Amino acid sequence: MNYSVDSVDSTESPGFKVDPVKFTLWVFLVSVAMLFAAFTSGYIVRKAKGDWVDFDLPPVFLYSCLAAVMASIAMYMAQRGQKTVKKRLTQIGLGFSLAFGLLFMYLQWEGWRQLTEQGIYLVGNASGSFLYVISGVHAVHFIVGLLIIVIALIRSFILDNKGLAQQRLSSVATYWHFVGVLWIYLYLFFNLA
Amino acid sequence: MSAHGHTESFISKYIFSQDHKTIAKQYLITGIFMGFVGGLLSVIFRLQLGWDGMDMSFLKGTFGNYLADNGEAFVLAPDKYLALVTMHGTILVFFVLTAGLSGTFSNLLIPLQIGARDMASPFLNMLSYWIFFLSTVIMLASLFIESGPASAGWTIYPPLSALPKALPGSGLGMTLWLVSMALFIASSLMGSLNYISTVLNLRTKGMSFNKLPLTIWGFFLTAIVGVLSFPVLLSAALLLIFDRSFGTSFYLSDIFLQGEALTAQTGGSPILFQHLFWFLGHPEVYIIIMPAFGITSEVISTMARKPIFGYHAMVISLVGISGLSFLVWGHHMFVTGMNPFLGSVFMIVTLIIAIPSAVKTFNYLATLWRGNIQFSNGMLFAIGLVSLFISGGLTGLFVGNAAIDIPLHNTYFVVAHFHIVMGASAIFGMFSGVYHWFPKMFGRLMDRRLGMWHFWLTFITVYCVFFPQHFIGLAGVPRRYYAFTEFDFAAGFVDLNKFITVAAIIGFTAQFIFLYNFVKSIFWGEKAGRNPWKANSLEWTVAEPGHGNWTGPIPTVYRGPHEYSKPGVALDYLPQHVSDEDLAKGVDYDNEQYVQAKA
Ligand code: HEM
Ligand SMILES: [Cu+2]
Repeated sequence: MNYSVDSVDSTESPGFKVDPVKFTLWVFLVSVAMLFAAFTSGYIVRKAKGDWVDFDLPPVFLYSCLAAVMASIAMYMAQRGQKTVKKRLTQIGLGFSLAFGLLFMYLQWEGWRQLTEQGIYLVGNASGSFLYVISGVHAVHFIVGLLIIVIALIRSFILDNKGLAQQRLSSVATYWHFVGVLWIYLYLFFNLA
Repeated sequence: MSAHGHTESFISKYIFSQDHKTIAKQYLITGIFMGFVGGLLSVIFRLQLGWDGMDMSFLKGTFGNYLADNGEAFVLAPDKYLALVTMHGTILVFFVLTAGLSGTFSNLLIPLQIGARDMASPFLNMLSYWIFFLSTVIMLASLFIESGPASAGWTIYPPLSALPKALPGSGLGMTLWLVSMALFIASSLMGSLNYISTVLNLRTKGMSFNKLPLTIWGFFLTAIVGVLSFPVLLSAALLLIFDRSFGTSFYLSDIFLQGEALTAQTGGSPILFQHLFWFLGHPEVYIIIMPAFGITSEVISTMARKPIFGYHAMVISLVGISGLSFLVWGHHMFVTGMNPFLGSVFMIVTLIIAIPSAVKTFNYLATLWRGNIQFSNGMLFAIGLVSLFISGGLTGLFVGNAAIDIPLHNTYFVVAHFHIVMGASAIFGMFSGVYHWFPKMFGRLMDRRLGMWHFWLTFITVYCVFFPQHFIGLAGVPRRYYAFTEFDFAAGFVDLNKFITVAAIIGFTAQFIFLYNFVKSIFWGEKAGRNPWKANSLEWTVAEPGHGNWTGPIPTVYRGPHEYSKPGVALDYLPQHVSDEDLAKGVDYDNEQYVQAKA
């Protein structure tokens, strides 16, 4: 018998029963969380030093929290669709995730625009710079999520039910919920810190 | 794709290989190369320190822009002295002792020792190496640009790093540094993700956590610390990039030079950078030493033919060090005007870290005590690590104490401390690993006599170079100064500095013995056989590993990795894959047939 790298089967390694892809994703998310923990603690350290201009966050950023919640709910529907083998439901769920995701990005854009109307730019007092950099880096992560959803959506039209069942939708969902929750945390942080 | 009887192209086998063993060799060779580059840079700046104003025209061809014409001679330009120190530190800390060390041994040993056919994601693993390679190329390229490489020290403190006008190297050189390090961080993250999920998910039957070799514990915890701390460095670097290129004021505040404002930025906090940097920076020093600890533990146990003293204590110490390493970053910042109360908190936690560190060294010594010691080259370097770690750890207790650190901070005392405890120790761990696992990588042994020469010359010169630096530091001589000849308080050390430089050059030259031995042994070394050290862990059950490692099923594990000289057992070793039943039956597990039947 020939053994090879891709004949790795679970009986050979009865270790820890988690899907390695999923597990790797979780560890990755922990490191993203550390990135934002660093940003937000930097914010606190810098604020404590003084020379800090306080300003009110435009209310649209609250609406983007709602959009993120809706996007997560839609993703949950897509997963139900996969579990109950209802292809339509998966497609609708992914479609709405994408739509709410785009809405989220629009609202962020609108928020940044309103900030500039208040005279707050990337360059200026560190309070504004922090807001732009942190929400900007968050947006980059969010856009990655959008791209993944686009791919999943396209595949949901190409694949048959069996292929769909094997899609790693739950990993997509994990990432998607993560970027949503991350924004809610950041929103609360900016308001409370 | 099957491992045997199928042909891979040269490119997929040696270049874009996904085999963890090939990737390990790629990391090793890149690491050795970078080690020589980093070492060479230090020889150049040591020459300046020994012989201030020395003529360095020999640099003209390649590094002409590093020279300044002072009318009498072409001397090393003062700003290029800083550039060399910066690149030396960056290359050795990150490229050699982080990527070179973890990259080589985590890749080689994790799958082989836990009994897996490869990493959880061989593709990610390959990507990790090539991104690292790219970052290496960029870092090296920055050595050759007209304005010179980054010069703000390996810690790249602003404002030197944030103000493109601060030094010639603060311009393009610094930009390349940041780009290279961003790639480096991405690569290290990919590597760590893989190491963590491989150790958790792909252990063979019977390989429970309390049977893992200490190497694996070292690599595993290192990867966890890396995943948690490198993102923080990334955040620091991102904010720095914004300050440099977009005009934000995270770190930069109003700086005036001769009444003229240098920047439009106001109110930034350079101390913020230090917090973010050292939140990575301190764990980083453990990222460097823990794999070396792991290697030393296995080598000492194997070559002393004794179980490691206190396996559980060793594991708990590693876990404790990993956790505590996140709470002590403030000890690098005692003089930043931090609240003395906060300073004393950092001090207490710092001194607590000394406990698990001491546990480890005592356990090494206890393992060696009355062992049947075989002074292989790997063993010599492992014992060398223990010696250096004790010497350097003791000075940690000095600088860890805020009251003592305030006068010692930024002096040669600190340089001595961290070169001994981290730089030299980890290099010794790396050499120990190379000598010990060379047979697994290349099927041959390295030359023992040459290895002895390499060890003794390196060991003696390391102490000659770094030990005197304690005294220089105690006298208050600051680090990162171009020359001391002008200052009365430092002028007394002129001769000592010459001595250090000579020792450094001898030490650097001795590394060519290693290089020669390494290359020679790949081709002409004595054939090693499957298990030249009669060691217990699983990698030694593999004869001539192809991709997929074992040609048969993966062996099952029945015992811990350190059952050497077990009472009642005829041979002085008892491999992990030998079951109690087989042992009771009296099988001859030394015998090739037995291993083949099992694997
Ligand atoms: C016994 C425990 C240790 C203690 C209490 C300790 C304490 C300290 C302190 C307080 C400093 C800052 C000194 C200053 O800048 O004024 C320092 C610097 C340093 N330590 Fe340690 N240390 C210990 C062990 C280690 C170990 C094990 C490593 C690495 C493996 C290490 C690597 C470093 C490095 C790299 C620096 C200097 C970084 C720089 O400024 O460029 N230390 N240590
Ligand atoms: Cu430290």
